Amino acid sequence: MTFRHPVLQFTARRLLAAALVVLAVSALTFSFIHLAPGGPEQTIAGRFATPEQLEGIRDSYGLDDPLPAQYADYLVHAVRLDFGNSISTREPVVTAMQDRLGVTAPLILGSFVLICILGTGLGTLAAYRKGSGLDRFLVGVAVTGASAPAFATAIILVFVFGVQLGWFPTFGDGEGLADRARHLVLPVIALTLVGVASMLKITRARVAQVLQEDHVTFARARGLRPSYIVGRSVLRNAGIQVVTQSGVILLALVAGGVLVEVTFGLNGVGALFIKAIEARDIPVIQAVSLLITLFIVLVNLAVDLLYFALDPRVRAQPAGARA
Amino acid sequence: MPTLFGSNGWTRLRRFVQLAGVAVLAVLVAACGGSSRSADQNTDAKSSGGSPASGQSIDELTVVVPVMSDALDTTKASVGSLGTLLLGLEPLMRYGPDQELTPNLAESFEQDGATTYRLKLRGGVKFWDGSPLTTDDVLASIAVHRTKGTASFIAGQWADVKSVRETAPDELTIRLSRPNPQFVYALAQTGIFSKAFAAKHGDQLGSPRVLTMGTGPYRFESFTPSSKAVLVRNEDYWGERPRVGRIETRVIADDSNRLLALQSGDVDAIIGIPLSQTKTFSRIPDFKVSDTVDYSVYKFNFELDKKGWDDIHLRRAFAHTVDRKALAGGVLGGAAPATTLVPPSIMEGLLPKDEVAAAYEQLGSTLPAFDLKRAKAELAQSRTPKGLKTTLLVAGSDPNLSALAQTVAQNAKKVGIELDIKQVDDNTYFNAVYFKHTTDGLSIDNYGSDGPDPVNIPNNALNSATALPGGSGINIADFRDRGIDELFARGARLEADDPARGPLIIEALKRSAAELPYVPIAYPRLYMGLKKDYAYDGFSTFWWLNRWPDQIAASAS
Repeated sequence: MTFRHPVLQFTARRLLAAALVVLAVSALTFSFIHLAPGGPEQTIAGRFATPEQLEGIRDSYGLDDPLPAQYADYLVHAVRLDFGNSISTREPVVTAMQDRLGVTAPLILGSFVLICILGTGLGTLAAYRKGSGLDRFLVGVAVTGASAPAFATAIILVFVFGVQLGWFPTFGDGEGLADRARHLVLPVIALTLVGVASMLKITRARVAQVLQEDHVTFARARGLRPSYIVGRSVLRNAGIQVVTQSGVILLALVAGGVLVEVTFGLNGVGALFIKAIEARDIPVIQAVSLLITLFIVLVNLAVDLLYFALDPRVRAQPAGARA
Repeated sequence: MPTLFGSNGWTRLRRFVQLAGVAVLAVLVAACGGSSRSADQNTDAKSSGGSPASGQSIDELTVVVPVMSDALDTTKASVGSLGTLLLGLEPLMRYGPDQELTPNLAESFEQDGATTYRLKLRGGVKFWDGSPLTTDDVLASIAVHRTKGTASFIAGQWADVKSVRETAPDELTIRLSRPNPQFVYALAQTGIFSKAFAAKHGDQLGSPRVLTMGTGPYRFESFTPSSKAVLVRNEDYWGERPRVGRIETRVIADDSNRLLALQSGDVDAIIGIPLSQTKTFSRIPDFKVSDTVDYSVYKFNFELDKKGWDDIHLRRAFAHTVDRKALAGGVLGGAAPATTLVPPSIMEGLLPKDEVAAAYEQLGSTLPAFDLKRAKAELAQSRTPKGLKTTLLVAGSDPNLSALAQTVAQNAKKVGIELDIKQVDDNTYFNAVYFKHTTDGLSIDNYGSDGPDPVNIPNNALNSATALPGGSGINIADFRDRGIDELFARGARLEADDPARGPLIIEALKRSAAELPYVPIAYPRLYMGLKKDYAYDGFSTFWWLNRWPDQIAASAS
């Protein structure tokens, strides 16, 4: 109980801070949308709309109401998870996001899992073989992958595996589970290739460092199995940095995923967001911003909580020292 | 937010990515399509394929289209986006590839005087759910464009309608408040939907999970807003059996992805190949690119009430810096230099070819020619003899605008007119250029007609009624001339195909040219690509008004 209590305290404090961050971001987003030139009424009524039509639309959506009143109205609905309907497509925003998450979630999470597995696995291998040909090869491949812009990687992948070999579709997100999975193979690989390098490098550096530490030498001297040493001594000690990096990568994948979605013609949350910004589709912009903010906050919180799980020294610190 | 790729300047980045991607691809395509023919050899200005094997069914067709609506709703679509929508929600009148309007859901159509139209509804037509088409459905389908405060894209086309009434069983009478020969085309752009279905789904009508209910030859199976629609053959269609079993229309926004999709063979046809990519597309093996005249014009616009640009000498000075021939041939890849707002081939719908040629020659002589010396001389006579610096907005969605602007900027700078070109998103661009007229006074756009009538662009660009503050602002120059308004009014009292309208339009174009509210640059061509297995009979700039999938057939050649 003495262990759990500070964790709960920490979590509560972070959740409170997260709520304030979400509130601040939503207010800023709201202000920026209204400060931007143009408005949703132009998207709604098209290029030939008369001033009378535009005024009527602004009136019907309450776009000329005072901003604080509009924001308060938004907040009241948002806390009930009611984000209204998209101004441009008319579908409920929550439905639109659910549909788009069916593309974005597997794309981001699939890439993330691959990056974690490949990055930590190959990074550990490279650290164990530091200075060898294998080490140089792995680092070289990773750096090449990270250096190539995602769009170039994507195009080459599509050209080779889509056009020349015909193994995978070249565009779109497919219908049904199997078709969707087929459509996401190349986007996931493209995103993984870009992200795996940073995970490999941090793992390699940290594992190589830990391998020099006394407790690993003692573990080897005691004749413990190498797999046990890697799992219990090496990776656990390298874990804090790896977990920190994984959080950074996961958030970066959200941003990188937008570009990959556009390049592969995927109808994911990123593509929805870009379209909403272009159309000044306020309900969608607000909801997606909120989703991304929440995701960032929760990932950071999860990373912090993982520190507790990985490192007993962190658990032992007084709560105030971590805030 | 941390990012692997950087997140600043999204629009510029995306454009860069697209351009770089296309560059990479062009190399790949060139490398792998070595045996294909050259662009010039592959581009056929007249035909769109071999001889079509008429009547032959096609199981599936995947077509990349330039634009798609945000909802399957007739109020949310115009021009290109109608190309998908009207396949399901068919109109009362159908505009055919022969450029003729023929009754469709209307069994007959007659005009009674300049302002009255009578339509008899076709009997025995059923919606996809089996319910019969009634006049109530038609009235409801028209009402959404006419009700006060409507947000319909095509509300302007119904603006002159005074009343729509059922005057006999299955007969509708439409009365206009004033003559408008363009109105008949509204009947070809207005899809008819089920009133009961619309009432049941309210404001969700046309959304992806609701779709819509029509009588058309193809019914919607799925829809992703502004991205993809899947249509399947309506086996119970009242008319000629639809030729294609399943059609997937798609928008692929990314230039390189679009090219790869075509190269992979996943796509059968593309309508609206970007002008910058026509040569690359024509190198794709087993793929044929063809083109047709587009009823649109690239032009510079002067807001005539803006300081500086209210001076004819400054306008003429700038016009002299525009090398239309070089821009049309270079930047726009073989477009025709423009002499006025309407392509001559469109005017030939009303006037004999030789008369159009003579009129256009005269119009061309009125337009300031590319001549930097004369530009300097005109500038010296203006109220800004030392020149000026002005911001010119370009929309990221049309890279030609930026390319044209940058080319002209180099010449304009030589005479003292400095253009600060800013790329902005479409909403910002449309807001400043069309809706609010808040540019510095100079803008550039590609204005396409929203209907086949030759008066469409001249009327929109020159009639006082379309200027701000009362009009839509599509008259970007806010040009006002009572004499020209009267010419349009006189033309409106004539029937759509009356050749007497031609000289009136020409006269309006000539009179406005003296004031130089616009500098026409070029008439682009519309490009279409098709697998060589197919032929597209009668492809035209108004493909979106046609029942176009039924014009595509397995090629006999």
